[in-house]
Amino acid sequence: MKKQMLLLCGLVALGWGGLSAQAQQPGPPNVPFVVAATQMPDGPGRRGGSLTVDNIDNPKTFNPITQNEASSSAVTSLLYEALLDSSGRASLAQSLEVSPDQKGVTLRLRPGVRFSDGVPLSANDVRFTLQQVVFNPAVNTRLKDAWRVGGRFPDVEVVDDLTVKITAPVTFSGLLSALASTPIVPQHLLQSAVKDGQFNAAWGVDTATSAMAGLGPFKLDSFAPGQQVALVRNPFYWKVDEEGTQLPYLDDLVIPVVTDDNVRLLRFSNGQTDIYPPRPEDVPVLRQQTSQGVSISVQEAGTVDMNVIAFNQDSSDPNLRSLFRDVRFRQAVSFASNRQGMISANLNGLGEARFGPGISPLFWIGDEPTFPRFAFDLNRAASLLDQIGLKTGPDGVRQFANGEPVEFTLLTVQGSTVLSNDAVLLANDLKKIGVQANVRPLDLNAVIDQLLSGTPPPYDAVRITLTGGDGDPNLLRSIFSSAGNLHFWKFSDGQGQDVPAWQQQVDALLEQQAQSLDLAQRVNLLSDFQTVVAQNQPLIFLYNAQGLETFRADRVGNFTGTTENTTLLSPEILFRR
Amino acid sequence: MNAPSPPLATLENEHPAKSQGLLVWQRFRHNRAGLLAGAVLVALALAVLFAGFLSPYTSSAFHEDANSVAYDYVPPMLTWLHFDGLQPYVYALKRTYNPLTGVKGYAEDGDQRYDVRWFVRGEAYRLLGLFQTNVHLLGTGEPPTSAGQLFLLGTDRFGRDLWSRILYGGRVALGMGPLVVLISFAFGILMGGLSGFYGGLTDTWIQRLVEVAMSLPRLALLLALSATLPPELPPQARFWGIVFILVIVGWAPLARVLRGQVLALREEEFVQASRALGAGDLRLIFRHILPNTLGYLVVAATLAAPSVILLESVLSFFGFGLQEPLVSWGVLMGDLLENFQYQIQFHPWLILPGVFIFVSVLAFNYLGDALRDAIDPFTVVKGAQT
Amino acid sequence: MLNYVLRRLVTTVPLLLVISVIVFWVINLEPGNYCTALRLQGEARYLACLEQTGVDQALPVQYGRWIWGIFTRFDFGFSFQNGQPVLKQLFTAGSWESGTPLLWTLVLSFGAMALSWLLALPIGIYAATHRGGWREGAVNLLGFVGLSVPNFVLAVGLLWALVVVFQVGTHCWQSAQLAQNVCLGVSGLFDGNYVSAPWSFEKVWNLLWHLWPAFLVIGASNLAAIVRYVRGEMLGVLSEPYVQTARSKGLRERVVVYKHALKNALNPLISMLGYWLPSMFEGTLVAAMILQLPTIEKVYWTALRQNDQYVVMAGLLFFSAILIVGNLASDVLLAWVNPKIRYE
Repeated sequence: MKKQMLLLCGLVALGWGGLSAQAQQPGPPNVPFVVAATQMPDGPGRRGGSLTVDNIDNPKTFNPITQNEASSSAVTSLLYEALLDSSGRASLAQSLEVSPDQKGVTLRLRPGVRFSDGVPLSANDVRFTLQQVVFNPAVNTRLKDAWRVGGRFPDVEVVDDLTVKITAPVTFSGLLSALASTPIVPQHLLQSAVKDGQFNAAWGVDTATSAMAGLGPFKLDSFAPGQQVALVRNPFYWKVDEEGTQLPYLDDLVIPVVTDDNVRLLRFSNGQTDIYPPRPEDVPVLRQQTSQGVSISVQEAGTVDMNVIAFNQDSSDPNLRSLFRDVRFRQAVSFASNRQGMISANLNGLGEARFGPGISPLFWIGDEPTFPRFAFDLNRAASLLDQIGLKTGPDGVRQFANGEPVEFTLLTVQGSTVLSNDAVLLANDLKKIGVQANVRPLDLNAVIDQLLSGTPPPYDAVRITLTGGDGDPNLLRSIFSSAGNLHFWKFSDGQGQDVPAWQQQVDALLEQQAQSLDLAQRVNLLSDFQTVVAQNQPLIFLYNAQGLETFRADRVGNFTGTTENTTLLSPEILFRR
Repeated sequence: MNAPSPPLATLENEHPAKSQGLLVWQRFRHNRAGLLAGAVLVALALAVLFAGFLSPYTSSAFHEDANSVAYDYVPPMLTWLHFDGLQPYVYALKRTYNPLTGVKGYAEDGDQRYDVRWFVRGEAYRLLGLFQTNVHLLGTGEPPTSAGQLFLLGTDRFGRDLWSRILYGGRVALGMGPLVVLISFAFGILMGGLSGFYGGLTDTWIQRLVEVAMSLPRLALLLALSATLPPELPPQARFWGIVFILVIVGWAPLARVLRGQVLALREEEFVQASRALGAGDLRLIFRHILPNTLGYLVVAATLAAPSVILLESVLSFFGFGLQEPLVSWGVLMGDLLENFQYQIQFHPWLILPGVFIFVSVLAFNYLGDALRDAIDPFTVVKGAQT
Repeated sequence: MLNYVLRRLVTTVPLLLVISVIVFWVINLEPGNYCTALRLQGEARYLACLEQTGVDQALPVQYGRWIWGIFTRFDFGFSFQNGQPVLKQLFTAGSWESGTPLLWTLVLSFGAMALSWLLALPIGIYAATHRGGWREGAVNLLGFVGLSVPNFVLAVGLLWALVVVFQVGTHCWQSAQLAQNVCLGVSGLFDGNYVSAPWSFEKVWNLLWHLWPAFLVIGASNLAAIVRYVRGEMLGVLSEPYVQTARSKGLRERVVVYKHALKNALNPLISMLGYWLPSMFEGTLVAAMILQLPTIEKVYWTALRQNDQYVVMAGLLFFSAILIVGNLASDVLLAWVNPKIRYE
């Protein structure tokens, strides 16, 4: 009897030890996410090795919720992940169900997933991330805007340890993309920071690596300020390839800090880095290195930032105000914009002309032949100006009815040669049709100040680039809706003064598309939106650069590109040849 | 028996005393490097003064062909200048395209020839900033969209003629340096002289002022300047703003060094002697002490003037030097440094403004050394009769 | 003399205060502040930033609180960019393996300055004592060339030459310490994973490979300037009558030059000694920006561009303090070298 008891105890002890040992054993969860071989351009890779990619600056924080710069997101995107992938499909979550009333989703988490410190992921972490962090008024994050609908945040309910239910107050087309862009952070490491109201400062650059944990393919090994960030494989990562090999393939990833553009190209040419997001003018140089294993690709779909020229339709000068509000003037300037010339001068020819608002490729109709285009034609521009009634004076400059010359200041951002080049080209062409534009480069803060301070703002015209994230239409509301806080060319729309019919139409279209979950309906609404905006040219769209990627094909396998030239796509399938 | 020495008056008449300036010039003449440097600087100064006249174009004109495509990155046509006896001519510009590299270029079109003529009519400009004219020293005299252009040193990304831009840009370089030196030295010498000579409280206060001025971060000041200039001001305001700041920061090191030298010199015997003879303070400072610092001053001035040229190019590199539509050698260097590896390989003529910077700074330095040698009466100058 | 030194030291603190007030005012002259760029992302972000940083308060209030923090807690504030304490970001961020900004600044500034002086003094003296002939011309030319090239052109050109012309990236070896293949690289301080590796002979060699371009860029223009000054002053002094006297008394030339002439020739240079360090700031800054050297100047410059004002102010105080103490030291040196000089 004693012997049996002893044996039983021994077995139990062994079993217990075994279980807890397994809890500490790194490895994928029982039901890992399998990355299909079709997603891997070069097929399954080999484990081991390291790659080097330069970062444009020091990361400012390792906190994925509060981070707000490309230099930080380049690193945090490798350390943390969201429940859905970028196309809105379940990845970290095992399944996603949309509720019948279209107002909510139910997410079932993958069982056995652990953070990079070995602590298991549970639904509580999801609720913590959303309710106590993102929705928390004391926390400073850009993610709030993605989740707020009708002025309120969705409800988050923990059904059981692995199931979460999120319910929005109204149908909300941005719900899935909000889920896809919110990384899940561990409650057990950040709870106390939230309690102390210190979340904004949590996980800064000084943090010890043991105090941080995420669900991304890598974890932080060391950070030498001004020199480099070193990452190592996350031993608990939840993806495997078709053959069952746990991802990521790479042992480590080195991210040096290199702030100078010229030096980044030189380092890539010297073989010190393996992936490099090129500028358009680098392409001829890189083409000569293809024999040494360098591969360049130019993508069809370009970037989605907005390179525009804006006129202050609330200008305090009555002549300029009525001129800028005249759609014929704006169309004339669009006719006078030599987009091909700008692309040739700035982008080495690697760009595409744009005549309407930039929206993610899913919604873009700007290439359709019926889309309104005011392409470069100085004669038509001149005849439009004639129609408005601006006669040419003796010195070649047109005049208003009261004899004053048609002259205004065109602001650009100093230090940005691209913006200045465009402005100079446009001013040169405008001079040919009798309009005097004086180009003035100003410090970026001064330009922002001119655009956003004062009612009305003090500027005349500006050449500026607006980055709209990944072109999600919901973010365009702040620019194109009457009451948007970036509606800087005509804030008076927000007060309901003199709102033209097309602007009201735009407001209605944007509102409707935000409330619809039906993709086809949204596409239609956004197509109408694009057409109306392109016809009325509140902003004169110029061009978008084509996406460019470069990497060393003899060293890097499964490279799928970068977003915004900083964030590696699918870093877990990268491998070293 | 020795002849009696002629009376002093006769001596004076037969060998009149030479003025200091003449003495310096005679000694300077024998320094070949200095003469060459001086000649180079004078030539540059004249060239930039007559910038509009000496080049076929203006600095801001964009050149396009008949299809409104810019003549961007045309290589220097100096090598494409041919001679028919004494008559120089060029061929028409033809565009080329290398499908392998995707690079566009230019070649000579042997079929069409354009003679280079003198005193041609071209783009309008203001000669010496005063008279409006459109006569240029040389050019092809062709209309702007013709294929017969004379881009002596090539063009930039907009088809702007580099030779014209270098000449116009030289005005800033060769103007800013001496201007800053003049003003800051005047003030610095005054303060340093007073500080070193009087000592005591004067010295304390002035030296503390010097330390404040020296501590002011030049780059922060320039950054603040470029951010605060209201856009309504003409672009020339930035030029004067930069001069102003350089003067504020530049007078202090000079005052400090001069004070050190004056401190040492005022204890010298010759100063004591002058004082004993009844010379007043100001006379002592300006007629006795300061001339002995002239050697250092010359070296400092000829180091300061070119350093302004170099600083202006650094400012353009940082992005807050002069901006469009002003042009300077520093701004032109900025074009090259946008993408150095690409430009130096495909459009290497863009480094020519840098060569001009190099040559003028070098010239200032050689000139400075030669002047210093000439001014110091004790330095032996080979070949000069003292 | 002791009285004089003490008096000067006492005036340092009020002087620093005056300088800091002026600079605080200057850097806040430009429109907008640290948070302004966030306005493009929405007013809410902008307001949250204002609350966190306090940059919308009146200037005297911000300045006063900062000074109060220094005097009561020796707290120089926090960086807006990443929340680090200012002193840490400027001076001590990093580890033993990767070094800190203070360390690298000392290595680079002093190293370059020492090299410049060590080379320039003999060159300048040589140029002054061996007049005429091609040697003097060659020495002059070498010095002047270094001075005439803008230092950022020199930096970029040097890197380009190393990569494209000399193709240093093709020189690789197997590193025993890192257990990986390492190739010669440009920019930064280390190649491969040496940054976080423990110090060893290999690591020091690698560091030296990265330091020499930095010394060249920083030192080039200083070298030429010092050569010219030394030559100029030596020439002036060597032709003084008392030097002729010394020679005719039969003193050896070496004694004449080094014992008598040099001391007086160095007068202006000693006056400038305190200024060399902050004046090298700009040369070091350009080198740091292009060659990616993690120095104090680089941190300072990044903060300046981003309106991270407390970092800028602390950095400024640091450089000003060095300048003031340096000036004091050079004044003392001046009086020691030339006993005729008196201070009241």
